[in-house]
Amino acid sequence: MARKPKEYQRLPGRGARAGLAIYSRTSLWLGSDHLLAANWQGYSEEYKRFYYRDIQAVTLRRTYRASVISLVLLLVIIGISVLAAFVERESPGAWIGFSFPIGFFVLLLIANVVRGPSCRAQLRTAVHTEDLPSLNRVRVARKVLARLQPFLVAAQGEVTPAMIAAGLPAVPPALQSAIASTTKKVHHEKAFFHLLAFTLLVVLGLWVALDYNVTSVAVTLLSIPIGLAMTIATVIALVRQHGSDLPAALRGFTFAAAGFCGLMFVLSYVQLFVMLGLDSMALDSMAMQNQWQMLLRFSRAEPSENAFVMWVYIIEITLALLVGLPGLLLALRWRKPASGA
Amino acid sequence: MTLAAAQVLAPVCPKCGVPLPATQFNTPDFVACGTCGSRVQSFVFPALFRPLTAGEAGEQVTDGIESSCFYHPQKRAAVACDSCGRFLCALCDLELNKAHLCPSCLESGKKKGKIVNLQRERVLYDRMALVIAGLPLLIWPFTFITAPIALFLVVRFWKAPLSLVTPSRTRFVVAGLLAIVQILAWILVIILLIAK
Repeated sequence: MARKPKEYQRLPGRGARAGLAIYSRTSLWLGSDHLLAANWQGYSEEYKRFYYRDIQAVTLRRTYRASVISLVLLLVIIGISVLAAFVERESPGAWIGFSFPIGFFVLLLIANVVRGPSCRAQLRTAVHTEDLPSLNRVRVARKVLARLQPFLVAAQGEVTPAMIAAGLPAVPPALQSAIASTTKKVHHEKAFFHLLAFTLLVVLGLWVALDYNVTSVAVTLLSIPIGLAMTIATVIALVRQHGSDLPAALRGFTFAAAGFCGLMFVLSYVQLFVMLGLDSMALDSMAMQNQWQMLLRFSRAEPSENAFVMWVYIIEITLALLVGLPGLLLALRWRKPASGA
Repeated sequence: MTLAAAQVLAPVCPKCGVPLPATQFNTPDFVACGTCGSRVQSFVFPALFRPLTAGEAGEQVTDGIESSCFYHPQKRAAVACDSCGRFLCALCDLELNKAHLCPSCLESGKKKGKIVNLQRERVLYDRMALVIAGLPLLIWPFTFITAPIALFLVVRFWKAPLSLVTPSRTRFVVAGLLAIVQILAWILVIILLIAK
């Protein structure tokens, strides 16, 4: 018996659609007269069809997702490697245990780099615009478009320079009145919280530099509210910049500031455990059974007597100033016309 | 053309929503959006430049001898429904898969699953059966309950519509075989326990 020919051919790429679904996967399939977007959620599949004759445009936008993933993986690898180095000093041979997670994350990093830069894709018809989550890498998106091209040409013909020069068709008056409700609104952001966040980040960097040189409970104690205020301001700034007209550079540095908050949160706990581990009396001591005593222990830690503590200080000061100063300058430049007006 | 009108027609920057100028259509590489600076690349096709046309509302019947639409007696019949034969005006004529259908037949076809192009969702019983048959193997005592359930799903939904994109019964077959093996294993265990 002759095999029934496949109705759909799978296109490269796989992505997840944002929403409440815990697990979903979207893929694109080539049909004879339409493009099918299949969204798989657990035990059901949902379908959306885009007929070739109706597809007006496909727009790609470069994103930093791949770079962020690479950066996070790199930081994780560095963090585990640093931890492995310190544990190895205390327990020789322990690096073997750490080699497995390090190897796993290195493989993930290589896979992410090989996949290439990331993007987001949108498909446009006369009546709506649809996100295509499966086209989340530039290389994949271009491959898909190359495969789609013959079908679109067969259904619509080729785009000529004359068409582009002639411009878009006139909009009927009846349609113009309904346009306002569908127009995407972009709000003007004054970047006050961005300015506050980056100012506090620079202050934090300088304060930690002071803490590095001065062994004082008060100095260590005051770094906590500064860090907390900076984190809150960063989170508010991140929320406010969504859907705003802020430049990409300023948005990027805000994300970097958020990443710095996350990194220091993790490093501070690692530092605490390293210090507790090195101080053989600490766990038995009554002095370590409350937060105040732990803070005292923290503040008395001399960076020069412990390499790990020294590196945490150096990383914190360096990153705070590297992210804070450019971010502060960008925020000031953005706000300058508004304050001068 | 107003900005809002242009936004209806022109591809927009996915980040800031501002319409892209024609100079940014079909560029060989990414270019910066003039408003937000995002790097975008827009591929446009002839459908974008197609003139907008109003839908047809159907012509009025001018004399008593003309055939009229079943749903709009005042409007002239333009075509007959390919499914039920009713006369339809231009407004009621719904063209799908090169066939002309009336709204009732379209709705009926959608509900009964006869018009594949209108199906928006399918339940994947084959995946369900495979997961129920396979996953509990991690905690094997649960297979006493899940194996019969998996076999029931295989038998009950064997003829149910499969995935539109991967219409293969392989998962059903694997789930069925797994379930049968598990049930046989449990029967053997019970026999051995009784024998002891």
